[in-house]
Amino acid sequence: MNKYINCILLILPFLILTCIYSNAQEKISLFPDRSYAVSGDTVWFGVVIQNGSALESSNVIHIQLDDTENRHISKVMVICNENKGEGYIFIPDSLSTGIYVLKAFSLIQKNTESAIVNQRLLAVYNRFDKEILSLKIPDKEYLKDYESNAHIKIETDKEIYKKREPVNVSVNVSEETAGTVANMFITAGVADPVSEKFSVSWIASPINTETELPVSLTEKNGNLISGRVSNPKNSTPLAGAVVMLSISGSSPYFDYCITDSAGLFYFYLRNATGTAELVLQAIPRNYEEYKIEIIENNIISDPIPSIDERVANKESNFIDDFIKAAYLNKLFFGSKLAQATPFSMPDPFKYPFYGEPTKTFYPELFIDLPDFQEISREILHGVQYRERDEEITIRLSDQGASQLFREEPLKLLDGIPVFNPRVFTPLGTREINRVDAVFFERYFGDLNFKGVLAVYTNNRSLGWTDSMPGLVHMMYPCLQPPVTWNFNNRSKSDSNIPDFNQVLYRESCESVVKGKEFDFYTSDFTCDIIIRVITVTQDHQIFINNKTIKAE
Amino acid sequence: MNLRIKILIPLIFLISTSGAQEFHIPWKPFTTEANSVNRKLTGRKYHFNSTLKGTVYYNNDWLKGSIVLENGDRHDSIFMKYNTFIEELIIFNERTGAIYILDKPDVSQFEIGTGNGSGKLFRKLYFDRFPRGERYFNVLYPGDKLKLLLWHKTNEEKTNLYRDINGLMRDSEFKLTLTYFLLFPDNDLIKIFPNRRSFINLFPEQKKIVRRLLRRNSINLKREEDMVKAVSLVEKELFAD
Repeated sequence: MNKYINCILLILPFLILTCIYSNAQEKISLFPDRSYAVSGDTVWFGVVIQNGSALESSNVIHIQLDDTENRHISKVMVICNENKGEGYIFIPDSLSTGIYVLKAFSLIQKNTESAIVNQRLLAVYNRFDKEILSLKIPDKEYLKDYESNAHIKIETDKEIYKKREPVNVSVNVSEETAGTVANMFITAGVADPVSEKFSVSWIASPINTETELPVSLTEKNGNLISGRVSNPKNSTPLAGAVVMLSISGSSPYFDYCITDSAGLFYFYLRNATGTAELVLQAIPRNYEEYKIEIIENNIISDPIPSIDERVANKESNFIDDFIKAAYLNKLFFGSKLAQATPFSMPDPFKYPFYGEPTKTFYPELFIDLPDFQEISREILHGVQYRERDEEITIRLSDQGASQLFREEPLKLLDGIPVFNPRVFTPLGTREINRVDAVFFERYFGDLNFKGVLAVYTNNRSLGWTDSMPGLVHMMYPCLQPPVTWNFNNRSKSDSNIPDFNQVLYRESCESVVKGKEFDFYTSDFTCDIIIRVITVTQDHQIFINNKTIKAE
Repeated sequence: MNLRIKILIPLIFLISTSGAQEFHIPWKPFTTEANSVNRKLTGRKYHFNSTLKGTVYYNNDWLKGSIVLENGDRHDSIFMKYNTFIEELIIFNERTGAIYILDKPDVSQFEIGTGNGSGKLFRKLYFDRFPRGERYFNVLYPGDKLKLLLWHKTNEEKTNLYRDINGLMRDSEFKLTLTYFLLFPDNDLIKIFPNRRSFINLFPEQKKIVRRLLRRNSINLKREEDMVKAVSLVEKELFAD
């Protein structure tokens, strides 16, 4: 009996540890819609989170584009629904020819030892390159290939097609397999002989980070912004500084964080999609000069050893064709530059962070007044603006204590805290859209404001922030807005307009059926076309099935 | 130290620091304890000074509790008092020493006294009759279909003349009124009186069933516990899917 108890006692900790480990570990797999791109292109991808329980796992995945030596190029963040997500990443126009790495990870993995990053390779050809003779190809030893599933068959109506001809495809999944598949992605596109060598491969690497995050956080419909405040002269971290994050708007966003002993701070933007115009400023404990740096939440993986390989003539001709096609695409359809997506952040609260305004003034309803002093005298009752000995003071009425506050209120210009009242001086009735005033002592967490004066201008330009020392005004890409991921190359009615689409079909399947049928049109390329079916099973296995056809 | 000097030092300190834009009390520096990914609690300074007889508070002593905001963020271990006269939740911030009225539009619900398992849950609901507006209701029975709610409201009522603690003559005092409501699945809020007839009349088409339920379970509806039990039984009997 004792033997059994001893055995159980020995095994139990291992079992518990295994359970904790398997719950804590999130495995993320990335599936780009192609394995090559010409600089300036957009690469679309699907991501799947495995092993994470729906409640505890992140639903925000970071996709990072680096070169093989960990030099960071760009990054996007996508939201997953039911452990699956889709998105896209722009390949910078100026990126030089070479093999690059797409890495998919969640922020919690950064803080988890033994987390593995799923890396996919991407050949990028610079669109200004004339002749590509050699490429540094990652060593095959480091590549792991996804296996194919014998129970999934891809069939086409024929093997050889003409240009711009419809291709009818049927994907047959055995009944037994269909029941086990959790996610399915289908892609079809022009095959590149160079990148085809690693198109179904991935590289595993432990996640290394340069900087620890100030907080361990599972990102759910939000993204973490972290940074450091230091003294610009000697780079010593400034602890205890109040860092304020503001986002301008008619209902502005505001939050603050106190820096820790390493000068680190963090903010969490919930449901923020698109590119945000952030303003960060700090009040150090001793009001000294400060510098704010944003910490990129990037990861570092093990460098991928590469071998310099000569590009064969046939391969080189293909690459030339891709580059020419990219040029013609730009000529006919215009250049698609990576544009900042509009920012959106739904506010679940009825009033701005400073509460319900005691009074709201609309100066444009009154006669033209040239400056803020005149406006405060004539329109803003309860707001005292004084210029004395070159010094400007603003005081608000305190309705709670029936007197004037003795201290300056929180002053906001278009939602951004202002510490120099001179910024308001030139504003007349034509420039101001609305003024909110709160005539009470307000609290926001541990912060205390002796009234709030929020001025909203008509043009909402934050140009004035550039002259403020230490203040950081930046465009920050938040979560990628949900996109229509599916694509189907259709027949072009005008034969004079070229069709140089390299990706011909892309679908993220909502459900897996035994027999799936679809069609797409070949483009103007004379090439091999690869139809790819990616399946992720409920027990976290990944299979990639391919079928190659020809377009002549 | 002379008493005058003792008083003067903080006064001089106060005068010297006034005027500048400060976001905190100078002698209480900020700490990282306030850092959180949650939306911060917001409010305005609490000014309430009355020497009338009676109390305006649901809990006279500061009790720790939890607050859930409209976006679902939860704040635990917050010192709070519920003022039933102005119907506002008063917060005491331990770190800064500030006492303020929590912004009602931001709050979804709060629980007073969560520490010892005897927490009283209050939920904010829109009351569409007089006095119209958002109010906090004490949730006595939090069923899926039916909810028994209690509205705590203190009013100033006329009374015999008396002297307050300052020796001033007063002719009014604070009086607490308790009103029970039943929240139906269609969000209809109906006032109920703590007696059998009033309760039975709430279900005009099932009077017989309700009467039988109350009789079989010996519920006379005079006490709060009886009302909770009655609502629970009616929910199971009449609102089961």
